[in-house]
Amino acid sequence: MKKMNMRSASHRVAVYGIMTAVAMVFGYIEHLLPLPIGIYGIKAGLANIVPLTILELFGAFPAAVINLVRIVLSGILFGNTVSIAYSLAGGALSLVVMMLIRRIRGITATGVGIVGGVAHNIGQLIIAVFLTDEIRIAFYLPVLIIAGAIAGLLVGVIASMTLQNKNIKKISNI
Amino acid sequence: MGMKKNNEGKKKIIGRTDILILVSLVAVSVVALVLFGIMFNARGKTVVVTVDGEEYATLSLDEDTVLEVKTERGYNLVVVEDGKVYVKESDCPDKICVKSGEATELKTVVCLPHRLTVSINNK
Repeated sequence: MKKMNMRSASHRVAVYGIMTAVAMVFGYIEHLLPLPIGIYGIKAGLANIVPLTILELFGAFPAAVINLVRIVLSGILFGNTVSIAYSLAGGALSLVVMMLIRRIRGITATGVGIVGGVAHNIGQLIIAVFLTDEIRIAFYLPVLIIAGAIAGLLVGVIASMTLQNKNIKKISNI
Repeated sequence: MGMKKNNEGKKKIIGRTDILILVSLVAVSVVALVLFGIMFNARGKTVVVTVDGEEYATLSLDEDTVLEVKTERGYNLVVVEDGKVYVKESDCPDKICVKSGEATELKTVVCLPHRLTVSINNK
């Protein structure tokens, strides 16, 4: 970890900035083209490819910072305070759980993504229960777990493939 | 990290552990859904509409009604029809409440931008 900090601070700033921008674009694409399912909390979560990839490449702290910047900027540009609260709850819980789960032996970035997707939906469900004061929303949990697992599978496979890309390895060697 | 050493010894895209996690999460959820279905089989009789967590109106499922919910956050049109209840119109940005279709004993229709819920009570 230490030796790669030698390259240069500006290189790192540039890489993190690109990652933030990519995550915002993913989020915006999904905002423009939502899945026509009509159940709360069901989407592919393409923006989560970025925190997962960064978590695997650079560790938890950069992933947390980039995700926070992404959520706040996207929220200001395209959303509102409520959507920021949802994204933060989902993003934070998902990142913490992914940090813990990736220590399991034999798990790949895909497995981390699956668990992260599920955690993301659970975080958002918790906020939804608070905002509506309607505990029965919790009955959505099984549906949201299945949806989160499938979305997380997609996100995880894309992140895994990204991590194997030689150019990504080169760029990330900071 | 450490990818310099063996560029060819790449990691797998998906492994047995990942599949195990996926399958067990889905299996637990399916079991939970089946259990919920058994637990809440009783026929719902009343529709409860809440705004901001407070009860706004209680409607009977047996008679067809149209309820206009106007709050400072916006407007929703709740329709009871043939023992079913759904949100027909809303001026919220995402329209998820409208797309959600009818509420059931297990499914609360929610309009988060307006903090509105429509659920069926078992009483």
